[in-house]
Amino acid sequence: MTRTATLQALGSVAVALALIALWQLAANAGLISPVFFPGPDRSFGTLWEQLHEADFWLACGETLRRMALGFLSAAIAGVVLGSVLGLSERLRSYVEPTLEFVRPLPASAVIPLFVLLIGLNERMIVAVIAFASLWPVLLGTVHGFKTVEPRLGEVARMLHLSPLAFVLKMALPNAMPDIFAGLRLALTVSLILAVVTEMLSGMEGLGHNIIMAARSFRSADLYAGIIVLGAIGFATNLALERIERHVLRWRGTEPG
Amino acid sequence: MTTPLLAGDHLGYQVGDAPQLTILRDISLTVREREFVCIVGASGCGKTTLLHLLGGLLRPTEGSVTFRGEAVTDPDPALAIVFQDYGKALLPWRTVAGNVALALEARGVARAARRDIVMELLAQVGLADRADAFPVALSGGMQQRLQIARCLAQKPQVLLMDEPFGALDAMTRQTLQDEVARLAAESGMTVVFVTHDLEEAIYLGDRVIAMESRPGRIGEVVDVDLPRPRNQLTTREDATFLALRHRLFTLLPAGH
Amino acid sequence: MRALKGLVLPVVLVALWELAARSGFIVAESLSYPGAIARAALGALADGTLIQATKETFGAALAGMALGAALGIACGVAFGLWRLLAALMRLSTEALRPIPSVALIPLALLIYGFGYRMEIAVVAFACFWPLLIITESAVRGIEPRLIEVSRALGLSLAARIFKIVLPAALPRVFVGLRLAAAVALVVAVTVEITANPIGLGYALIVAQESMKPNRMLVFLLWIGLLGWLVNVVLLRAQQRWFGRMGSWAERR
Repeated sequence: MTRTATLQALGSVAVALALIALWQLAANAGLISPVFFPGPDRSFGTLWEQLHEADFWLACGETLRRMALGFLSAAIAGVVLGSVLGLSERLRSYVEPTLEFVRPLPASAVIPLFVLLIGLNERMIVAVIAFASLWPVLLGTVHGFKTVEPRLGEVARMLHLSPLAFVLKMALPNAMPDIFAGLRLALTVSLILAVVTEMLSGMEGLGHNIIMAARSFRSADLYAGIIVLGAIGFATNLALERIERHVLRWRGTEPG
Repeated sequence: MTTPLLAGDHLGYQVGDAPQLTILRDISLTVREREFVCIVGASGCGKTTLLHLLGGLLRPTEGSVTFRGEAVTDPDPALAIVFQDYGKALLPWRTVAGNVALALEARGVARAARRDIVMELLAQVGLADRADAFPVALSGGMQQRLQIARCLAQKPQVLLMDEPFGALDAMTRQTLQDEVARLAAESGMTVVFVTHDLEEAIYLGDRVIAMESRPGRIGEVVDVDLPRPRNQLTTREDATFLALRHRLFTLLPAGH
Repeated sequence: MRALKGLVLPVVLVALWELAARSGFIVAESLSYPGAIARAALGALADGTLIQATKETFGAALAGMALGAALGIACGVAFGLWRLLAALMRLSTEALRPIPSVALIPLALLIYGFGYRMEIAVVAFACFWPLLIITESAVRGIEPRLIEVSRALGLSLAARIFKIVLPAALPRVFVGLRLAAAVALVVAVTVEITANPIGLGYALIVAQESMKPNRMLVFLLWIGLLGWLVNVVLLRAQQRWFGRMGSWAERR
């Protein structure tokens, strides 16, 4: 890193710490009731305690497990379906308008429907997460397969590549950047829906924890829970970005 | 009288419904084995269309193309096409070696044998030291050489080159001209080279076919009786060269 | 022609569904059939709940979006114009951004209790980030020549921002607003589903809990329709106002 960049990074750490200090001061001054506004000492303190409790890790594990199941099944289904749609102009013309309608639908709106169909249980939660995560992956994959460079198609014809070889060697790698863009969005969605479904269903999990904390006015627990969820969002996104950067390293210094 | 390797017989190509646009009209040409034929014409005269017809990417609306005595209806690895937009014809997600290997994979060459063949071809085009780089890191001239290497890996009988150096600067163009001439001479390859640059056509070819525009048709065909190997400096000042240039200049619109 | 093709899939699905319900393939209580849903739709319209709930959701979403977008654009302009500020705030913004807006629902509930304010707060948080990022990027991407000209003309900071920077960044900011509108609607409905007893989301939950699947589906489809409509309208607006000029002030 250049010298300015290092200084700026340090500066941003300093600013962040200063903001936390400000938070502490405000909490100490008692301007807002500590019921709503615990200071970082209580919030992080509670977080630290929670990290030593088995219950916390249980809840964390449940949330992550549901996220993973929903996200992965949506990822696989999305890529498979998306590749078929992306390569077939005919199929697309029939399906695309319906996709355009479902895309802006708030995923959480289907929760009551899924509850009616599946019941208020574990399967419903994973199904909702998978349903919501499917669309970004599907749409991203369709776009990626749709936009294969036509010149490459001509090269494939010239080399007498089989249709499968074309898909595996040309269409799929070409679609990767779009697929990853869809996956990143799906990851965010899966976290959100995990939290929402847990809040609604009363089943063990981080979402359930924070709504219970709010209802019983345990603000420090609530803040701690928010921090944990933010951390999960950050970490999962970072992991996916690392994978993406490795898979797409052929892009060189091109802007992503 | 040797039978021509590649021949076009009264080729015509029209597009559209009403009005119909005639791109090519009544084009007949023959290419003998080991010949270096240059097709030169102004932009828009249809020479790229002609090349695509010869390569089987397009089907003529009139007449036929024959290769080794058989009709050409689809592209074939034996008729390798080097495209002008090299960037679009390469796989950005594969290394230089990987791109050349694509042609070998298509041919069904055993995995164990591929590396050696790839390195040999890369050495021929002067890219051996960049085998593990990605196309995005290469200059335009290098990318075009990579495409040529990939085409050579197809073990073609004819190399169809579509204004391959049009997008490159003058110096790179001259270097690559000599390289292609050398490759053709060493391997005894048959080449059909399309360009809008009259001097390039005369410099490279054994025979030059000059096309007229709107609609595209054969204007004049001349044999180039210049000694090989050609030299950028001396050949271009040769009296025969200048006479040919003079003769064909009038056929092409001003500016060529 | 394309519109007709697009209707094939939904029509086929609906027809299959009607068939399955009538033939007893699907248990009648768990789900309904299209005819009954249509009737329920008219019912919801007639007793005013559909309109009322729509007004509530839209009201909260709009207010939240206005607040979040205004703050996001303001910060985005600031970050775009002053790199140092953006760099210093980098860690703080990156730490706060990954927090899912839904995680703040309990907090907003705690502070504001039920009602509009908590929903507006959550929607504002959700809309803030896309607008911040897009505005910052848009301001950074303004043709530097324009900025130099504005300085040479001796314009005050405020004048520079309102006469040069904002208009130049407008096309991309509008795209951000389009995005934020969709987000606002989704988040508003989600807040209503999880915690807030107003609006379309709440109506959805009430219908489900009172075992009225027809009514629930009506609200579900209505929400979907609204989301689609909002997107289409904004897309048309974007194409009309900015289509011809493209990215008019962007760095080439």
